[in-house]
Amino acid sequence: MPFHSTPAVVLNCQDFGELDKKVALFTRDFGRLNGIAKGAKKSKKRFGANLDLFAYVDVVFFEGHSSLARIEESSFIRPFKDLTSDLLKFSHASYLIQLVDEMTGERQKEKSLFEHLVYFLTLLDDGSPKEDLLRIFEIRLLGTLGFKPRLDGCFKCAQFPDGRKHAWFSVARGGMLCARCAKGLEDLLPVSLDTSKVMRFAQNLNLQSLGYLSFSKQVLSEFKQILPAFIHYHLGKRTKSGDFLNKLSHVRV
Amino acid sequence: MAAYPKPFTKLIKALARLPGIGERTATRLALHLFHLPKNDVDTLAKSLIEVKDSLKLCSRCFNLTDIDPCPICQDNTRDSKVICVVEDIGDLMAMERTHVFKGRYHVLHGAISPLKDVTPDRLKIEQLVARIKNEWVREVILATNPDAEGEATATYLMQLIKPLKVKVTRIARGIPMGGDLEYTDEITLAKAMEGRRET
Repeated sequence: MPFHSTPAVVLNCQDFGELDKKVALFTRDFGRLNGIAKGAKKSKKRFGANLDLFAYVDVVFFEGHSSLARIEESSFIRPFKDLTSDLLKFSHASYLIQLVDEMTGERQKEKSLFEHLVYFLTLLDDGSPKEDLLRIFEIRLLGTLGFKPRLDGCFKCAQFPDGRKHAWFSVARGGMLCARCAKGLEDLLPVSLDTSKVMRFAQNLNLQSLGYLSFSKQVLSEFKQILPAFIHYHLGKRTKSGDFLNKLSHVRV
Repeated sequence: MAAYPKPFTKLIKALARLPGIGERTATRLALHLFHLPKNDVDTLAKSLIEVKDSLKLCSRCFNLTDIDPCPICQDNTRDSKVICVVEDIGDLMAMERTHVFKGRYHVLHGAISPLKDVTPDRLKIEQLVARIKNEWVREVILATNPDAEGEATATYLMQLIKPLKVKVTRIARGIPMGGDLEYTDEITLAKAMEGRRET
């Protein structure tokens, strides 16, 4: 049984039986994989806090007889220890990893998305939580996984709706519609031309520059309408961490 | 293909609804129960019903109890001005086994978790704040688990309780007894250094 070694981010970790842990990892070289770490609840030498949520680690694993990989060892590349220092930061980080967990298939190798996840977790760990970053991550995630919304013109008539302030976005069709083509259609969200331009810009910017990007209030508000709805449409359900974030602003103890 | 008799299948299905028990384990347990003497099965069945009928949560600390308030909350020898906050009843019992803590408890019944959509209002946090205000609490010890969710919950509680002018402490985290520095991960070692104390 060959051993594999790869960088990975821990997406989920649950107790499994008396001594083991069941772990969901997003690995650079093998995509998302579920594994079992035998004796992880007891062995502080082999695992310690290395399998906790968000941990960016080097893992060593081999394929066992079941569908679960057997995780033999893990060591920190970066622990992202500030992600739990603030509830909003923690919620943003949870949303990022849950999007990756839910949107990627098992063993579907996504090296670019892995680099994005590490980059965004690093930005969050080093800085303060900004909604702009969540929206940029959504834009890039959709693009990486082949769900890039079409915003370079009306997807029906191919005309770019210049001269008008607003066009429409169809979640089901994954693109923008000009006012003429949108007539009679339902479930459309308004999208300003500024928003469509900014989205295309964010889709094409190099990774290391994404952290410097920020949006106007209107653009951010439109992204918040469009992007989560588009993701829910493709997932076929809402994300729990997305709902958590929505509720968080209303929760007062 | 022959199937198990109906009552036996019903038992397997009921057992398989318990956490961590799949159908194969449930079948094994059901077979074991079948081979037990009738008295033992009666005792087990009665215990299950008794637990369901007589146990409740303490109205003050939310510990599992058959009397309200629970024996810990009624114990006048314990320091009522110090509250140890734990995630669940198992953690409270673990803390009690140390025989070190002589204050009162507060069980949150979970930890804040965005991945499971557990918001602060789904935990017993509001009740904790009310206790701190009403019971003239001097110190709150945050004993949530030292994992991501437990840490985030502790941070949230700390930010919430500090303005109430109450001393808030976090249980120490670091190298376990019998541990080895060389094999200790960076976070644990860093926490141990941060939490060092003069001897």
